[in-house]
Amino acid sequence: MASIAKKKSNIENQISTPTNILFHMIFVLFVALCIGPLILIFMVSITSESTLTANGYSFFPKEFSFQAYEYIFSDTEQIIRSYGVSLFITIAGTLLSVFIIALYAYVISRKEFKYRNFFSFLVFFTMLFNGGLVPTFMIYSNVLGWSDTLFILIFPLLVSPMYVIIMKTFFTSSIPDSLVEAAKIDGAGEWRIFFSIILRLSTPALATIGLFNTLHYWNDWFTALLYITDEKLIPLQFLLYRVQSTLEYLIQISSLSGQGAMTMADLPGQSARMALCIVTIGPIILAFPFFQKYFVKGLTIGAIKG
Amino acid sequence: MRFTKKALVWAMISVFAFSMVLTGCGSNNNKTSATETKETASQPASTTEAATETASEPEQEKLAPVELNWYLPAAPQKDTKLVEKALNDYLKDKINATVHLNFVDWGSWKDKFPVLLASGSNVDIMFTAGWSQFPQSVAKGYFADITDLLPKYAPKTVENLPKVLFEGARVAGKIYAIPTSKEIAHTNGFAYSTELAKQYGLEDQLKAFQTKIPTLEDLEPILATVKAKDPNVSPLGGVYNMNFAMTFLDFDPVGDQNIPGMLYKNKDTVVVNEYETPEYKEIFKTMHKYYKAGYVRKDAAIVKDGAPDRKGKKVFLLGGTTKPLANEEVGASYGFPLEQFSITTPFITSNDTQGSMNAVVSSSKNPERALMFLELVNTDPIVNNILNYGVEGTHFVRTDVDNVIDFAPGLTGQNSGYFPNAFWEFGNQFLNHFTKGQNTKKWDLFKEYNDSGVPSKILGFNFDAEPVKTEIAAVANVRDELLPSIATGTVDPEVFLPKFNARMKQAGLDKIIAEKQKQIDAWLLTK
Repeated sequence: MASIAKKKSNIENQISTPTNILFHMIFVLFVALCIGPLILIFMVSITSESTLTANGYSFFPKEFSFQAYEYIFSDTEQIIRSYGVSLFITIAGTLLSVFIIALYAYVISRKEFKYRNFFSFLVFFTMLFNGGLVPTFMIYSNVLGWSDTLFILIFPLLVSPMYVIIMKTFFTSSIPDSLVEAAKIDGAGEWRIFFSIILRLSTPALATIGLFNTLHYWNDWFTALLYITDEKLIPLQFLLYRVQSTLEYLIQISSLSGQGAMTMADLPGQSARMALCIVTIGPIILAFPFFQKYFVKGLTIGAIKG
Repeated sequence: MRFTKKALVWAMISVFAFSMVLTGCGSNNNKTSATETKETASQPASTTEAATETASEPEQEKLAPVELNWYLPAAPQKDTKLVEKALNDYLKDKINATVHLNFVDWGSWKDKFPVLLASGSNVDIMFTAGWSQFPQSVAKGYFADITDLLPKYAPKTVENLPKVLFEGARVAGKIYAIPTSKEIAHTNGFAYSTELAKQYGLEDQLKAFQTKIPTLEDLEPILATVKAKDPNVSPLGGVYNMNFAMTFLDFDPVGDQNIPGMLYKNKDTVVVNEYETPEYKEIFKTMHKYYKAGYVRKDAAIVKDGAPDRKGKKVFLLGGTTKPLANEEVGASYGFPLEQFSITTPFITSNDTQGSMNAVVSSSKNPERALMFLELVNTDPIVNNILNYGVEGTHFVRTDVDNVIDFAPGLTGQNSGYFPNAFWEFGNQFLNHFTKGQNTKKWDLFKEYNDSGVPSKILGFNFDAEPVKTEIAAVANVRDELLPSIATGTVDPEVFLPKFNARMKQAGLDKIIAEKQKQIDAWLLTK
């Protein structure tokens, strides 16, 4: 890290102080632009609905209210359960899918593998053509009967062809064939080569694919929309999507007609939307720095190093 | 090298050929599956004929137990299992069916129901409506033709429903769904806060509109008074999507209201571009005058949500549809009393009659039992009210007044374990209990209102939007962009209306109108 503190040893790598200050200011500004909206979202989420309708969004609201959170968390048990479901499918799904993608990509990256072309074609073909929504639904739901299981939330996203190709490219370009040969000569079997050599050398690629998959699993609500009706298995994103749509519906019918004579006057509309944002982004923000460590390595790989 | 190139070419060719075969297969498959479903749909019909004889006999215990799946859009309820149990205990002696209520939340409905239908999943009864792709679903063969089954298995439903409802729900002369009996006509009008009216001394003037239908010009003195008395209140409520011309003129929309091309209300069957009619132009001109006078919010053209203004009593006249007692119900939800007056006479279009229906799905294994269940939903108050309010004692309790109920102690609409708040989906609304505080004259008023409705000349016509899908999307874009400023009076219609029409035509408006005309003419010939 090039710090402002001047060290004699790397003085030739140092940029001039004015440039340094300028760059810092640019970055501080950039960070502010990134974090500002997030802070605004948070402030709106804790603003009372009446203040919002009267004054609009503000960093310094006149009147605070946690009503939006109260509305969302009105069923705490369900939220905690959904958090659990989401965490489980994200962790299990990511690990499993990275493993399977790596396995698949590795075999089709090895020139000795006889059916290499066939399996490459399979991946390539499914990337371009897929069965479409309805046949997919029929297979999963009617033929296999996987509706309302945790498995259905994990399985459809397990292997994505794009990632297999990225992974394969990484293997062919970054891991020399001679390494595998050398391992073979030393007496390593295929599994040992894969686990002890290939995977160890591929952490940047694994982390990249892992992060993509984590985001995918965490944000996926559509699978749940199609296959999950059991309240116990609803992942967080879908739960919040439902809260949002129900809220919209309630507000809408309040202006059309409502037989149940419910008081809509104090339903949180806008603030609830923001509160939903805050609730959903939590864990994924924590996941990113964890993966980031590997990205730094991933970017430098292939560059000339001493 | 040459070899690999050749191989590549062959690979490409085979990929394309294969994909073409696949897509060919795909459409072929669709066809066969459609005919298959039709066959399976008609098959039970023939088996049921044999079954009817046994069913109509008193020995009903012969009915084998069946399970029925009903899919409806509504917020999923915590106590659904409990309610299903209560319902099924009751149904056991009646029709020996176990019904599963599958509530699909509002956000998922439009994605989920087409997949359920197309995949031939285990669905027996499906909620449907004109706005929920009813004509399209019928065209694709998803719903069973119940024209013949209906009189056998749901005779009372047929008898009780207003004839005009079935007229409107027919597709090519056949019945594919049972409409919900509720209000079937529509009127447009205004609501206003009685409190503010008293404050401004406008009560008598506004009361007069209940008997004498006002024009937009008639409203001017009222708007002026409101403006003078309280400058903080905008006299005429209206935001982005309001369309006063629509409200005042009540054209007959041919299909979806949002697709331009309409008929003059019961005059002839010539589709016109409503934005080119002199009537519309007059109204836009008046609106522009009102806007300049400050009767409408300055930023009306860009404000999308009018609810905060209404709740905060920052507007006086609220435009919208009116129906008996709507003012009381909407008023209750806002927390202050409202009064309403209509500016059009009750009118019945296909939109109104197809607003809420339940169809038997053609892949259902037990269409006859599904109809028997729907018969109970439409005629049996116990079934109907379990569906609407849940279990007596757990979710609701009876009050001293006959047929009036209240939430069980400690419960409200928001924390009750079962309150779908979707009364208009569960069959005959006239069977609903009244909730405490509700006007018990409601159903009498509704009947009167329905009887006074004048059916549209093209009632029962369904516009197939498929051939002009692209144009509709293009036209909608132009409309969303330009119409709000014209309709709210923000801009001068003399200048902008011609521009608007030119852009609409560019986007394919004429093609849509021609298509509507063509379909109406073809439909009229079959009548």
